[in-house]
Amino acid sequence: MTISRPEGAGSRDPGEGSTAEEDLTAPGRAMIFGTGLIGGSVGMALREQGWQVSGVDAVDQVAARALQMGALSDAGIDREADLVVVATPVHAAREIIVGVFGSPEWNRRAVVTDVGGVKGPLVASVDHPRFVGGHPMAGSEQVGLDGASGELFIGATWVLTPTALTDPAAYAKVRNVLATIGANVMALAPAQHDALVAVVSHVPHLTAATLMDLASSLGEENAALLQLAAGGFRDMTRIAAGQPSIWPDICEDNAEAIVETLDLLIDALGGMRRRVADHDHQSLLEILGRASAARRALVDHVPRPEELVEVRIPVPDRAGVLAEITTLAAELGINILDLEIAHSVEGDRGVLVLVVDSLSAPTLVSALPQRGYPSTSNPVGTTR
Amino acid sequence: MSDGHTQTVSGGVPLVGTLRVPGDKSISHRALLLAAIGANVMALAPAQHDALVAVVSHVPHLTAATLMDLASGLGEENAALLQLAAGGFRDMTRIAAGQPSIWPDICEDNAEAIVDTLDLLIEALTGMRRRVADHDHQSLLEILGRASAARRALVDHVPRPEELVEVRIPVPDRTGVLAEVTTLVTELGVNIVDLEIAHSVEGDRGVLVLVVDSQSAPTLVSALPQRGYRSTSNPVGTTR
Repeated sequence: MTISRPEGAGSRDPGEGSTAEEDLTAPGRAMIFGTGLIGGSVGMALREQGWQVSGVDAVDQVAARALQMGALSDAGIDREADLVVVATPVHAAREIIVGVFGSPEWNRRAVVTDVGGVKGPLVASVDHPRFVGGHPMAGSEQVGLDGASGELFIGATWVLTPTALTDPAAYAKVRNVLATIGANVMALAPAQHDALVAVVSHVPHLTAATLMDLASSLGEENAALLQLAAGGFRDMTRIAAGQPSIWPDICEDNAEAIVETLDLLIDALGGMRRRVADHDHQSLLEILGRASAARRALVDHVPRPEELVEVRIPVPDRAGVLAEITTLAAELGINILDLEIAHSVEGDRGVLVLVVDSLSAPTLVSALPQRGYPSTSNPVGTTR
Repeated sequence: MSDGHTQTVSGGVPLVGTLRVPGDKSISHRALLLAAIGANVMALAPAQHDALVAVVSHVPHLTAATLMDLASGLGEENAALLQLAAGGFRDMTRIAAGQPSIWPDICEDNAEAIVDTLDLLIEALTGMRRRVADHDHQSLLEILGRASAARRALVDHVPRPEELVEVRIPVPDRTGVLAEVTTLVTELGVNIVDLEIAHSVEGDRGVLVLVVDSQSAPTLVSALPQRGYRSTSNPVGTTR
């Protein structure tokens, strides 16, 4: 359902009579903690956008190399930064984030985000309006800075985990900066993020490592084994080459979801074993056909500009609304391609503007009233 | 390969034939033909071939399909799930997109090896589950480190000519010799880059010429006398 407005109807919504918003994507000063694969790539990508990027690493030489490689403009701590990206291993992040918010020496408006693979425990323990938990779904089997690239995030899904406490302006800032470096930002509740990544990231990694280790130990008995490993095996085990040291923290923080998912996988593999042992060809064909169709459907869809729709949602100007709406969009499988918050002059209401592709817009527009949010939508680029 | 099974030729991965040897000459001609189209040729006993491909091909395929089907089922409850599927998941499930109809036959013919390997995998995954549930970080790090090292060792390596050595093995011109030597070579983990049989004029003896990479050559040369073969070796391209 696309509601078009009369052309040339000059003013926007009443409640929106609006404000000059700070340009949320304008290059500023960023501070990166941890200049490995992700931190280094964020630094490169931000610098390409004109940011001044400072950074440190637990290992001084790593920060020095990041500087040399152009991922940083300065090695050191910039307390004036307006965006702080914590890209350390999961368990080191909390102390740094709490330190930034706890110290008066840091910019009082700084927005802080992190890139850890598990969100629930960290987000719960930081609990600050200007902290927006994040997790880029991009990586490389290459370890550390050597795999870093300013283009790592182009087209990659980047999850943010706003909560009821999150300042909408802080969320919008992080979201829009990430969009400028090419990421598709998606909002999820922290616990939901953790359950989903157990399925698409953590358990696949553990499975790849298990398969690689199994083949490698069988290969000790017969050196021919690994010489037979063709593209399929290589594809399947590629992620197992990644850095092992990040996994104990992840497995610690997301143990419950990982164990549940491993149980499902072990159970399903047991079913597969039964089908092969019983020569149950019909059932084998069924599951392999289903998997084949699902895998072929897993392609990137990048909508063309003419397919974009702007959904405008008048919202009370209070905490929690943004998290609720962005999380709803993710649950519906809708990718938010752009996001803007227009505050009203009176300050108690605003308009949340989401840009989505035209196929998804009707789903979103029809789901919003159930949550108490009416909305209007327009194709992007039409005159209002 | 009438009595064998061929794998897709792709950079650096051997084309596999199982050898039941009726006459060495035809086999050697096939090997030469395959080498000419860019395949690395490796000889394996049929049962051994089946056990190995269960590990590196059949079970990985079934595992990729299982994982894809699991994620797809869970994705019906939450549409965000498959949007989170990044390169790692995509790499892992890529082979699941393949044509399903070939698999019932493969699973029928290689059921025993596939079931054995699935049992090993399920057991190993159960061990992984225990490590995560028990927060056994030391043991987790160990297995992930071992897997990471093994995967990084699994790189495509195409030897340059200056890295190649020609191993010349005088052999009696009788059935079974080629299969024995090439199977030995494979068991040693040595890749045959090229193979040639030079028959002597008298017709009862010949010379089997294997081209292998220079690092593997000493292993081969020292293993051959135990099977009753003498050999000489020269870097490729040197004057003899």
